[in-house]
Amino acid sequence: MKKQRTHPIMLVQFVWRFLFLLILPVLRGFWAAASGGSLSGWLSGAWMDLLSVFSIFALAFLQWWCLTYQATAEGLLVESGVFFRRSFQIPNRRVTTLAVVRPFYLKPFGAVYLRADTLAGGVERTDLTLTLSRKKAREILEERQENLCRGGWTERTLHPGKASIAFLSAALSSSLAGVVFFATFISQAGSLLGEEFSDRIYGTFERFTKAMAWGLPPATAALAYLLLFGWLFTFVRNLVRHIPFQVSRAKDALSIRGGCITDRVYSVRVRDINFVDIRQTVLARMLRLHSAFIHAVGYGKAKDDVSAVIPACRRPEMLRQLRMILPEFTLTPRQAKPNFGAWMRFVMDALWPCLLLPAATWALAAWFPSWRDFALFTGVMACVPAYWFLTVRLIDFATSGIGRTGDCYTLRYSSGYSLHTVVLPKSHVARILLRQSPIQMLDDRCDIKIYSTAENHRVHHIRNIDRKEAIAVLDIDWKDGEDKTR
Amino acid sequence: MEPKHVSPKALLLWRIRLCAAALLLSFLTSLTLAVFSLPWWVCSGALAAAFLFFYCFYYPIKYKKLTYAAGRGILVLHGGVFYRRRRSIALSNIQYLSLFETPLSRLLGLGDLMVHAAGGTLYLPGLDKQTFALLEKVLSPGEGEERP
Repeated sequence: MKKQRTHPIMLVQFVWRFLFLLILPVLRGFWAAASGGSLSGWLSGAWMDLLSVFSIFALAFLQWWCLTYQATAEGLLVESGVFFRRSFQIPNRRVTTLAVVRPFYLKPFGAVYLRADTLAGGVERTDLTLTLSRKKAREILEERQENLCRGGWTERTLHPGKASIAFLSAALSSSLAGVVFFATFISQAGSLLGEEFSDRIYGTFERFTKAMAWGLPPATAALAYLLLFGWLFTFVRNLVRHIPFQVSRAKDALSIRGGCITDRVYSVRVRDINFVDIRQTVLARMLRLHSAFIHAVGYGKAKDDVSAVIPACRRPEMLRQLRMILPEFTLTPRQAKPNFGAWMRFVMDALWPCLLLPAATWALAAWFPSWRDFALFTGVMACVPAYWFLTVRLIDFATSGIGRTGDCYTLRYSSGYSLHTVVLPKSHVARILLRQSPIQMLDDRCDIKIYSTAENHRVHHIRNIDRKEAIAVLDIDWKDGEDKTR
Repeated sequence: MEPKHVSPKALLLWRIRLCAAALLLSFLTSLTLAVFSLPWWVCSGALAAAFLFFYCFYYPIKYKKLTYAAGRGILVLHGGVFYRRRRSIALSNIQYLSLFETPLSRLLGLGDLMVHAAGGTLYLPGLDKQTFALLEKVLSPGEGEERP
């Protein structure tokens, strides 16, 4: 492929970058007003304003003109910069994830974002993002898929049902994120469209909560509806992000498609997948549903990215689907687990809020009788996550442990409100730490921390495992005169 | 591969940049302070001392100490004026390379190399185009070579 330029819509992005130059006309206007200058005086210097606007467009155009890319057999060669030139080539074999994202606002222009990510670079930023025409991006993506699938392999495709996607969206939804979004939206809309707009929204919300309070105190109803609407908003956002969802596996390529408003296609190299994470919440456990996610550089990196590979299904179905698309990641039963006496180690963190929050609620209700209803409601609401966390820890105590089949570890642990079953190949382990507290030394138990490789280290923490068993299962015995456990 | 120095033109480039910075600062000093007043003398003196320090000592020592070597699966960069530094990156960890050029460095046929590796970057300034091409061959992993 010859050297090519990006999609002309990228000019708009560059114009945005140079908009700060508008400060010159603004300052000139202020100066003219402050010094009491006449309109004719200000108009006589209008050429400066025109020059500023022209500079913005000229600089944007030059930036766009100088940004070229070339897809070669080795990789993507990119050159950019007008005065300060930068050129780099990302080799194909280093690209972990290649993504083509087609947001709704680029659809009328036939443009897409092409994102390439390697193990280098930051956690927040993609190594390369280009705005290309849909056709060219598809060519690059197809060429990568062909390279990864060379050698013949029957393609296997999963089409998860809408119900399982809906469950995944529900599991990923959070009231807090929705509330934060709403608050930001209303305040920003208020600053743009005037305070009257935001006042009207708050007023409508107040009237709605009063009408739909169903006997609850208005403040309590407002809080409950705020949380409900926040959750519903993130649920809908997650749903449109995933539907229609499709995962295909062919040799070394895992291809994932999702999104109905913004279309997303990801091509992940299988050997660069750091680990598979089968996650469950307490609710999912009660419904016996499992969701599988993969951790690969560039996948699930952006704010609205998809990160699951199997949305939600029962355990036998999940194992079947996992064997179908990622047979390299072998799930192993627990070979080492915490002893019964370790229950305090699991529940201690979670127990304190469960005891202190009801006590604080009771005290508040007793000291402020006029606020009793509100205090009781908020106290009960605050207790829910605390008891939820305690439940997670109890399940974790009953299910956590480690196992190994060949060069693949299976780690079962909890983190926050989620229960994780992580299948991690040995080759993606950065380091293993076995940590013993003075109490654990008494019965030779230890906490295991396994750091997996990526742009940043991700830690998997398994509590209170017998040290000798851990060493045997993890296969980190004293070798070559070096104690690898310490 | 034996440790090598960066291009001798790099020293010239750093000195030209220093002269430009010194000229700009002395211009600003003369613009903001009354010429031949005490503050002007103090600032100009400090500026001249700093200029001489960087021109005669810092940059020559930086150039002398800055060496690189690639081989045996590792890229090593020695450097540091006050503290001695040795940075190394496993070749198998290198993801891609990028070259930076300013108008002045382009005029001298120089560029700065940035090595992007898993877990960090390594910056090697003042390379000529031939050396960059050579390093690109050495540091770019072979077809069959994979990450550790």
